[in-house]
Amino acid sequence: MTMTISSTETPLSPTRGGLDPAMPLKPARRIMPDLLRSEWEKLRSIRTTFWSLIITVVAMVGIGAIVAAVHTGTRSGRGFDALSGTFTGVLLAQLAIGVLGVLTVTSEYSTGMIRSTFIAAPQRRAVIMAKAGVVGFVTFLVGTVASFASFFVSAAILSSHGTHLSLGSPGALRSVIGVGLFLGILAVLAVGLGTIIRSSAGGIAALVGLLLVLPTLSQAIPSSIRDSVEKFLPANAGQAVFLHTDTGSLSPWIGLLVFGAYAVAGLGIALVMVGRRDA
Amino acid sequence: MVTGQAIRPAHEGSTIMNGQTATIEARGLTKRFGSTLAVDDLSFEVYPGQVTGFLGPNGAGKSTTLRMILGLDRPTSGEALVNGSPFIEHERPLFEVGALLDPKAFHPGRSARSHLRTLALSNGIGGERVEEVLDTVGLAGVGDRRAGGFSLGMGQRLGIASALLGDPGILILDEPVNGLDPDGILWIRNLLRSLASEGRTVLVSSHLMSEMALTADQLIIVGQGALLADDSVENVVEASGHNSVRVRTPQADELVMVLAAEGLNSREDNDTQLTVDTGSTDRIGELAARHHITILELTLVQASLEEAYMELTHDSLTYQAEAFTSLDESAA
Repeated sequence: MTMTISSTETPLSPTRGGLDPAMPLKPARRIMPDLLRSEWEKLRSIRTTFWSLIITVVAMVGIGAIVAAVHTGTRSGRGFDALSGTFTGVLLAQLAIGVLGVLTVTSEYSTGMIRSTFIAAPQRRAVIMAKAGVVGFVTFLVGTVASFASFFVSAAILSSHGTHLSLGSPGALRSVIGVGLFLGILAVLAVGLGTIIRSSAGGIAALVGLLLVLPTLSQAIPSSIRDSVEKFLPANAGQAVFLHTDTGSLSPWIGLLVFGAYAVAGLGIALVMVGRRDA
Repeated sequence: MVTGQAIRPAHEGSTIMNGQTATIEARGLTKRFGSTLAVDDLSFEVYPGQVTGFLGPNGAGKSTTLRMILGLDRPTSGEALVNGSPFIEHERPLFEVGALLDPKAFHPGRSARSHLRTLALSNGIGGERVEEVLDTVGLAGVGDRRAGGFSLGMGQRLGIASALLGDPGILILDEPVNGLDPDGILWIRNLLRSLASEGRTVLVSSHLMSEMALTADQLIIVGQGALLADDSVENVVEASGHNSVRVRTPQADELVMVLAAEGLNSREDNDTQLTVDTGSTDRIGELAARHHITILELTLVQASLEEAYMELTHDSLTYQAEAFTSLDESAA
């Protein structure tokens, strides 16, 4: 290693990992690309990521195919139900993606990595935003690819039994793209949850509660107001873009927008908390 | 402070020493966890070009102090400055400060190389530097192995590699020799000394005075979160007040009486040898001459650094215990 003696206020050595030692410090905004690269390296070097995304793709394509096969086995001809059925696998995939999002943060806290991270990059809010950005974007990409794959597989199975389903079918393209967006936003929300809760078990429990338990609990709400409350629950709002189960849900894009608002709020709380707490 | 009175208190020290500016400054640093005062109004400066040992018993608040310096914990009051400003205001801090707090501060599923890459990338440091530091710490051969399978010593080396990534002017290491084999300890000792000799600031914590005696030039000693001493290794030993003089004389009984009359405590080791609680051989020699006592040997016995440290930290504990006792009594 080459190291030289010099005064303390100035950089010590010519080896700066390829950087010009005289380079002035960049303003805060400029650090984001570096943080994004760092978070991408973190995400791609962990097996959890690989398995979560594999489960996402397999669940979506596989379960969609099974539902399509069963659907054609009973009754055919109702295009909209067939479309919703295509995305049944998302209900499992959302758990894999949510767990991935939570773990990207909580695994850093549980292993002690978070201290290495914050010593290298004390801009904690920017770090969490970079994490949410990378996980959200990767999830959106993989979710979209899986969504298209699932759609075409299901459509092929359905057509062999006489049910026609194509991207031109009413709501089809919107649903296919909506699934990718839903999963991407969900990952951001999960990063927020993970940052707020910091423990893997707690974060995953909160995620499952939000996605699965809350909609069930809402059955306890008096029926007079249940309909107006239920459709605004995060899971119900977000899934409105690809599931068309009843007339009580929000319209697809409004639902996704409400879901996005939850994610923004969750990430916002996370950003406030990560700056205030001891790491 | 009890014994510490003899030692220069930190706040009297100037922020400039030997023409060097302090690179790390703690000013009234205080951290309270609930009702526990972990760090109590701690002020000190750390200078480049030397190894500064940050010493104290376990639980003295060393790690908390280092965490506050590194912006991980927020001080209850006071502040810590690194190169003149709080750590969290530094961008790309790897170029200024390298730190090893915890030998296991990595994701066990990631390879050593990947771990270093994630940190390097966040500061815009390229992959070739990652290879350099892997080489420096002797992990080049296992760079692709999952870090989770590393021994504690390899973990320490990986932590040091991450601290060296930005080739920083300041290194902060918390108990870096913990869990290392003798080879590893020697390696760290030499590394710290060479980093300091290159003009860098090296702040290294330890609860082992024996280790610091071999590595450090300057000592900052804390007990129960408060500063006990901030001085050079030599001065800490000297000021510990634990020096004694060994006297060999055929008239031991006589000398004991003479010394006692002068207020000097002594004890007879055997018929012809005394140990006197004083740091001065001159005074005993003069007294003996005046009273016509034959002296066969007069030797200054210097306290070891270990003893000085024990005394300092012991006093702080005793002092605290007494304070509590008197509090109880006044309450009763």
